[in-house]
Amino acid sequence: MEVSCVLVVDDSESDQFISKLMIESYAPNIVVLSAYDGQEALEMLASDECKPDLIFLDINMPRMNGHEFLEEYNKKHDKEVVVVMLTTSEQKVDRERAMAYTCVKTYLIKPLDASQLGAICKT
Amino acid sequence: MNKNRYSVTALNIKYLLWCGASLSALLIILLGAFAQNNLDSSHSDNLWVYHTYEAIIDAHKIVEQMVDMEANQRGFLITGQEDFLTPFKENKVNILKNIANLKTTVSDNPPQVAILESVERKIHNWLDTVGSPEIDVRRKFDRGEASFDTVASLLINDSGKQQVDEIREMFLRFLSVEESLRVQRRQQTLSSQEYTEILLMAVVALVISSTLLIVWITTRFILNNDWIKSHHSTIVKNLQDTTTLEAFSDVLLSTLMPLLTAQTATLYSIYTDTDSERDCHTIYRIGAYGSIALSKETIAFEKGRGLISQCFTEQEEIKVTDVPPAYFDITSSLGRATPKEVLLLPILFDNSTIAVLEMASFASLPNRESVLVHSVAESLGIMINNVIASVRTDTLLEKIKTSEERSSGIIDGSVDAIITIGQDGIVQSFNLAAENMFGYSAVEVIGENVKILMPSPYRNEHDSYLANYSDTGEKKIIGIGREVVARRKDGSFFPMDLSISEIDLQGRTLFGGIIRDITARREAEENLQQANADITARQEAEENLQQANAELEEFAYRTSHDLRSPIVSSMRLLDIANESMTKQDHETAKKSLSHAQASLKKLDTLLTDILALTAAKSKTESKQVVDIALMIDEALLKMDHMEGFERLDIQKNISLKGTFSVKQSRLNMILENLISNAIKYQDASKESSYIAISAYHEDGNFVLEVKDNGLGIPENQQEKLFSMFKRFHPRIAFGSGLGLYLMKKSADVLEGKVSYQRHEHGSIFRLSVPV
Repeated sequence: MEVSCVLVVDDSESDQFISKLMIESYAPNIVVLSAYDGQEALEMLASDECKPDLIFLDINMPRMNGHEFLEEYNKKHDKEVVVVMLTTSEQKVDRERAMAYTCVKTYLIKPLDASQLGAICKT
Repeated sequence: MNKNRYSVTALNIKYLLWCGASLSALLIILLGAFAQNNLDSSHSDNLWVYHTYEAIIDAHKIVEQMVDMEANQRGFLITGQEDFLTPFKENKVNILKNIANLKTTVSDNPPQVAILESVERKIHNWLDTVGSPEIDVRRKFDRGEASFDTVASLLINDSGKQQVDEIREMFLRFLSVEESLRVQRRQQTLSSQEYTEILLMAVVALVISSTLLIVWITTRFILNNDWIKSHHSTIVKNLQDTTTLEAFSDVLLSTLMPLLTAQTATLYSIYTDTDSERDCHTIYRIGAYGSIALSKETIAFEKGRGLISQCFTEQEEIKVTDVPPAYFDITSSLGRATPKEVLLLPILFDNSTIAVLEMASFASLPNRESVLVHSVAESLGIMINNVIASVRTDTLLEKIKTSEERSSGIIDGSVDAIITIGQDGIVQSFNLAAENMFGYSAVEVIGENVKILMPSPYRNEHDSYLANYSDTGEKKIIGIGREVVARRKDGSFFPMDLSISEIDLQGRTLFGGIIRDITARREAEENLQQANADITARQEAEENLQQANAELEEFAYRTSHDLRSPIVSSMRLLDIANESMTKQDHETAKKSLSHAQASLKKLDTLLTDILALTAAKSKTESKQVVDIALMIDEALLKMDHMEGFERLDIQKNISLKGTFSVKQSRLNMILENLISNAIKYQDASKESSYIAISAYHEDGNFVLEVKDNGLGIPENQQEKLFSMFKRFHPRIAFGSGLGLYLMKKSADVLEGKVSYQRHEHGSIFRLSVPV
């Protein structure tokens, strides 16, 4: 998979920082976009400027959480963009609920590291 | 056999009297006819006597006329005077006419007619030969044609005298015959009258004797009838008072038998046993008179076997006149003898035999006794049937009585009070349970109006209830039942379950009330209600607990994420910093450390809030009088170091009267949260920002209002406003997402509520607590 743009949806600035650092260390040419909650992510995706190949999605976020985002996203957009869950929740319900969407490829537990990123990009 | 033969009415006195009277009348008519006949005959005999007299008189007249005529003729002969000839001529004509008449009169007697005819001839002969020629001679003398001597010779010869004498003689013969006839006829008439008299006397005697006979028969009949009727009615009257078949039999036989020449009698009743395989009937000896076999026996007979059975089957009287010596004996202490006659009479009712009366006697019963026995036997059927019916009714009544006693036992044994009243409300019955329940004895209540058992207002209105039901038939309680309050004798009340039914007893309407004291049930119900209330409370508590559990789960889930997340991040960031330091990338290392610090700070804030929440939940606090204005000032003082506080216009509007008691720390927590939120989420893009804090009373509530022109809450997020871990402006300021949740929980503890209202330029939060 050719990845040129990644959208990280996470309310935690620390995690945004970590994710961005990991993506840049894996491939410095990948553009990393940040959204602090589901609502903001949807707004960004609605604009023409943002065309990510991959979305890292946290679950627990204010305003619109990861699940709510997936519900809205599934209604509005084509499923070309691969979504990877990136969360601290190891709850089974969260995993099953997220994996029910065809666009969701992987469910990862934070923090993200370079090897995980590599595995995603190679598939 | 015609059974009516023995009917008293068959011997009809009218019939007998009619026969007697008819016979007498017939005899009298016959007598009249006979007398008439005799009178006619006598009359005719008298006519004949008269007829004879007539003939005699006529004959004498003719003789006279003959003599006159001869005398006149001689007178003329002597005198020659024509005067003598006039009666001569008259007599000549008359005498012939009279003879003709007499001939007619005696035409029934030819010999007499023959005499008269010869007389007639003699007269004609006289006239022709003597009378007329001598007259002619005299006339010739007068004319001078004949001599005196001729005339004198005529007178001297008197030739006519001989003939006249002959005629007279002949008449005498005629008269003698008539005289003998007269005597004979007169005799005949007299004997006929005598005969009639004798006959009349005989017939009169016959009429008198037959009338006497009729009177005698009638009297005898009436006496016999009276005897039969009076004994019949006495027997029937005596029998009417009997109630058992045995008594019936005793009365019947002891009253009837002394009147009869019969010596023994037995009365059998008969039941046809239709269930039996054989065609059988049971004969039961009810009672006997003068019989040796007095023991009451029950014998089953096949139909038609034995005289009694035969009598029963054929429903006809059986009379045995030549009783064989071995058949039956009439006994006394002096000895025994075979009766002359045995009589079996069927007693019928409704065309079936229900009893047989058997009698034995040494002589045939005289007629009136026979009639009495038969007429009594005819009356017995219906009476025996009545007795049987009466016995049956008595048995039934006994059964009913037993059943009533039993039901009375049931009623008295009932745990429910059972009271019956009439349409007038008067108590008719009051059972044992009712006595126990109401404290009245049955004697005290029966005859009283049932309303004494009721408290007001039913006590006063019950009569109108009854009247209303009687008028309209509208059932308000009958057949429905309801719970009402009853009044005991001692004036105390108890709740009861009342069901009323209408009883139609032989056209009389009664109301039956079944009453159950439901005091215990009421208590049980109240206990149950209490228990239900407890359960409800427990359910509420459980719901609260469940809600708390759900919150706790959410809390655990969120904390597992929110607590773990900054730690995981911090660990990773510290790794990155470490790696960056190794790579001499100080810039990245510095950023990582800074992020790690921020994460840990978030963690600290979160932990502080969680601790506050835990403390708030576990904290029990009593109300105390608070100074709202002071609390607001202190809160503002606490917040003045916050970012952007200095650019805010703080407005306070407190309009409270009197003191206000509240759980102070809770109110303070809400107040601080509201103010800090207003400060945190101020809209920095606006030229001037403000916070307006108001405290006032509204509809009995204390209201604390914090209004700002800050960022506000997005409309689609408002429903989640007071949930746990909700943050609405994540990039503006960090919050644990617990502030509003904590506020709501505190409002709950204050028994108030917190609400949000978005306004044109910001938010309005209101806390409303009842005073």
